[in-house]
Amino acid sequence: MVRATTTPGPRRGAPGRRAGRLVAWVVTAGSALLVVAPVAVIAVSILDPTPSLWADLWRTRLPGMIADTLTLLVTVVVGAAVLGTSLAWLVTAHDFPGRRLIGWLLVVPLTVPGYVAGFVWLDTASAVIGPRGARSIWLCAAVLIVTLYPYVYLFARAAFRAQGADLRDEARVLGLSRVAAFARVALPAARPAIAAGGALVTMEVLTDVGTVRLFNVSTVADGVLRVWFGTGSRQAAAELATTLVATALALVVIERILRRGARYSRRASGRPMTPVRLTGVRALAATAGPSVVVAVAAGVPLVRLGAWGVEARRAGATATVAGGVWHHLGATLAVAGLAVAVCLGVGSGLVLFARRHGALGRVMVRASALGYAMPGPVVAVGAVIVLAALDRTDLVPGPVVLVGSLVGLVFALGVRFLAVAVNGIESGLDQMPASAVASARTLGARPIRIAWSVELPSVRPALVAAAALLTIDVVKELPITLLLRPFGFDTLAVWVWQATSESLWAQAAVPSLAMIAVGSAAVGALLVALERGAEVVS
Amino acid sequence: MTDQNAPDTGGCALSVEGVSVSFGGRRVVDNVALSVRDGEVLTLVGPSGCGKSTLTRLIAGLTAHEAGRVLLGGRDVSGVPVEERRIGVVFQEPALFGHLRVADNVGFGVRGLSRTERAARVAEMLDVVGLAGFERRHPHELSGGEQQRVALARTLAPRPGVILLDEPFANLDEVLREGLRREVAGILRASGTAAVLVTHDRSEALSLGDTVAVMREGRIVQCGTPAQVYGEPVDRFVASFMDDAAFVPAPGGGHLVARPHHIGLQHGGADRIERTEFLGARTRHAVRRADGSVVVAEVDGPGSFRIGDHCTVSVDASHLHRID
Amino acid sequence: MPNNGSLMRKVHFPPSRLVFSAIVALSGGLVASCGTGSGANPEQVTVYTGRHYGIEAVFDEFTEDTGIEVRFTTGSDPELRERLVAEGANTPADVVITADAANIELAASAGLLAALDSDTLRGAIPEELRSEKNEWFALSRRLRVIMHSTERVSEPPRSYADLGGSAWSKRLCLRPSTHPYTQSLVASLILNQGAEKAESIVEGWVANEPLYINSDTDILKAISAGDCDVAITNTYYLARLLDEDPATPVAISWPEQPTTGAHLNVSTGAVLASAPNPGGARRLLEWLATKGQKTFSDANFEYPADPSVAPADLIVGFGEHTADLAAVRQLGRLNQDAVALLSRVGHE
Repeated sequence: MVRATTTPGPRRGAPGRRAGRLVAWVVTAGSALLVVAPVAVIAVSILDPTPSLWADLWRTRLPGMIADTLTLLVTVVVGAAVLGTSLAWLVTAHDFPGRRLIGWLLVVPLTVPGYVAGFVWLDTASAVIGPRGARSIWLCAAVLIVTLYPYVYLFARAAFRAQGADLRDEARVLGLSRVAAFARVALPAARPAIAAGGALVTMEVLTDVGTVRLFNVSTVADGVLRVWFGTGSRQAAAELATTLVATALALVVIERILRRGARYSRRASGRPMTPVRLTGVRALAATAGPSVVVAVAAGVPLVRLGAWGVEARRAGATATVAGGVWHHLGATLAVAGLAVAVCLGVGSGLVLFARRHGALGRVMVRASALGYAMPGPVVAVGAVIVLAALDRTDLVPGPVVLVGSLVGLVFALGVRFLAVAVNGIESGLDQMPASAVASARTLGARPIRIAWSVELPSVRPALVAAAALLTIDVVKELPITLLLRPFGFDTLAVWVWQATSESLWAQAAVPSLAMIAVGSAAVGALLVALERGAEVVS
Repeated sequence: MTDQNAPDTGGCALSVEGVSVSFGGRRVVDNVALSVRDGEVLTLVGPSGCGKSTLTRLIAGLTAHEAGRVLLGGRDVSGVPVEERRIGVVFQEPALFGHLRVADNVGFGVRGLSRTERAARVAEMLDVVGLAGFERRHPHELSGGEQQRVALARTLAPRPGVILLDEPFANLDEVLREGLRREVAGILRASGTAAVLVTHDRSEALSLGDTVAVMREGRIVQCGTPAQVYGEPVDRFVASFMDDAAFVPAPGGGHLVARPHHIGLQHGGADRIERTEFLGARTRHAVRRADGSVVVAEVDGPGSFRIGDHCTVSVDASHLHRID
Repeated sequence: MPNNGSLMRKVHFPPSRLVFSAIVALSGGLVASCGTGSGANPEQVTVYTGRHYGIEAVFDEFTEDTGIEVRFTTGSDPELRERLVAEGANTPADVVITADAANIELAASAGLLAALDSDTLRGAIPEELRSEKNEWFALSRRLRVIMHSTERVSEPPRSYADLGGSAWSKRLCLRPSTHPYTQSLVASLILNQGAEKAESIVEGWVANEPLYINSDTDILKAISAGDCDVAITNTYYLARLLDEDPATPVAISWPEQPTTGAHLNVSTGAVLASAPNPGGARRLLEWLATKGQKTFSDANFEYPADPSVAPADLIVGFGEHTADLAAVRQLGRLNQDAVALLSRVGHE
């Protein structure tokens, strides 16, 4: 079937509409360029390599960095995939006491920032196995697994649900046991979704710098900062960062290929899977298993943070110079709201434009997602370079300064997280029958009206889901916010940083808890959106 | 009008002149010409992959064509974008806008009317498709047949010059299909809109069309009244596509087309009944002849032949249509 | 959403353009409301500070004293430097304050800083603790010394090299080389001992399989908890712990005492070459070097840069010592060598 949207037919529009189309081109290409620019200013450095630095790196830290990165990546991705998938299967295909609540709670660990889970677990583990044993790549991997598995869980859960009952019933009729039906039918069918979740986990691991440093794990992303801020050589750091982006890009391509297959395998019966009711010991185990995961991933951090919060309260350290929790919460919500709005707005514009303009549009969409494959601090500096360059031009009126403005901050966050919006909207639109758009066109609707009154409303659940994930991401984000925030505009994450950079863990408790609360509200919205049939997201 | 047999009695709603489309170097629609008069229903029939869907998309403006032109009411619309062609399309899946109520779906394409006029038009259309009072419903609350009827109402509401129906009944079950087919035929005739209905189902094509165009490998091989296409096929392909046919060598070259009802069946002989298909009023038998060929014969009622019976086929060749 | 359809029909903007206009409109308001304009307000000084512990109290006092408001943003030294480099002449910052000497020297060599001809500053800050061209000035002294457990160590090491002795195998805690403090310490070793000797000293540490902890406070807590016996940290972290709990079983062992003196790093202040309000910037710096010296240093239990200002009582108790003043100006220059050395010997 030819996709309606890619075959606009011969055109000979009125001059006004031709001008409109030109504006759409210029604006879309412009915003795509703007979003790519911070990544590009970093990446162009690869054209002029510094061989001496690479030789040095090869002799010293690089092999270790690569080894650590690969070890961490493989461990975390496999761990998150296994944990996320098995929990998703347990929750979708089985009924046991507390199933609904557990289904929701299992997403909550996503709201615990890696660096917060990191210092909580580092502290907790140090008390048990000593600080030397606690600072290990394996504990780091474990922390990343329990904070990142929800990505796989969300994707896998949606995939298992979409499979419906028929697939499994057919397998059972063909004589497969329940376990075999899972292993040989449900699991392979959900593989692209699991891979898509795994791809997100991959990005998070490759670009993480907050968590790994706590555990003295020296990854390539950490190496970028090490080289950059240790030697002052932006050039060298940029080269290293570019290799990271190249790796991530390769993984994105693989994920795309996997997802292409998923589009056709998704069609399934409308009949939902009837969960198998578990009884006795098995029901007990089914309730206990995920509860332990939630306890480890969210419970322990919450209890620890709660205790620290009480301690901080006793010491009267529950505010910063900028203000109390409400001030920081306000700043966080403001920046999250703006960033989400911009990401969804620009993301929708880009995706809808791309669907009408074939290959070039698709290239722009893909390129706009590159920031997601870069460590936050690198994006932050890339954005500062671009914004400062804009400030120097006549494009920005004299008294306006973008660097250090809320606009600049939101822009940089957009660069980093646009991919989350784009992927969510795209997968939402993929679920729409192509003939809906064709119908609207034959009914006389222009592309703009189709976008507003057909496409965007139909992907509303996907938009809500993307908004929720974006909120969680932006609330947790630190390096970009730290470098680009306006004066006096301190988010919860900044407060956490100010406390933890002085090892005042107790003082980080209140803002950490507030971040988790905001994130949990977003998780609630996300799950409601998913119930309404949003394709998972990002 | 490519069809020399059909008289030109009305205004020409749609005419397609020598259009072609290729995908990846393959000609999917090859120099096709056809025309539809006001109020006429043309059914476009052919096996899967013959290019009939592409042809409809091309007429609608959803696919670009390389050569030829498309005229609507005499106006060349070849370069006009879909949204300005005023062609209604009903797709195989109803493709209703799930977030809109039935009334908003039906009113989607209605422009330039006041709110009350619009509501009246919507109500009128829903009445036409037999869904009066369904305005406030959501698409997911409707059955498949109801959804397809809403889609039809939505298509008719803006009063398109031509309406294209691309296998609109394919996703419905048999019983629903029968009923809806009749209803749609009535609605189309009542609305007086010219229509092109695409189908791969020959009985659908024959029962619904004023004119039937048979398509094969991107070309229209025959266009005529249902009786002409059934009774006077231009070649073996059309003959066998429209119904079972036996080809009897004709005196003086060529073949005669024998439909099942042309073929008589007697007990005893070298031929054998291989398969029977009970149709109620009539019964069809596939007969394996002594020379190994198979012909299909039709008898009244349940008949007296059972599988494996010996029999003899006979053809009255005097009234048969002759092809090359 | 569907209601927008009718609106959209009249205005034939592609959605991307609408979004763009919305962003522009929004931005205008936001930029204005945030007041990030670089127009010089003589009553306000803008500061980028890499030193953030207790800094707000110091600024408050300055404002009270002079009526000049201080607007500041915190961050890590290197990232703030990158921001200053990118902003160039458009920077809203008047003053930059760093937590170490190397980063300010890098900023100076990038041409970001203005030379300041100020008798007040020259009078208050010893020559060794400001740059040759008077581009930056130390505001407080941070000594990086040997810490030891008072419970398990009776003969603490007396020099940085001593920490490489086999007696300290698996008993040593160090901060990773990602941190500027570690880099500056090694830079001073290169200066004082020569590259070869410095390398063998650091090799000695590494051979002892140190426990790397990326926080001086946590290193000291590790000593308290018995996870290590000796370590290198800045003095004020111990002061903070002692302030909370005088029984903390950790003590300072002043290194290199007869010779070069304990490694001295400084927190610094400088006026930016593109400062929109150079006058206010100068006043802030001069105030910090004089009237504000005590507050600035005491806020974090650091030693004042001006030797005539008395340190906080608590750190007076740390005892008499010599500090390595001579190396301070060279720390920036040798930073890259230090980083390379640390990488070579496999210091975490």
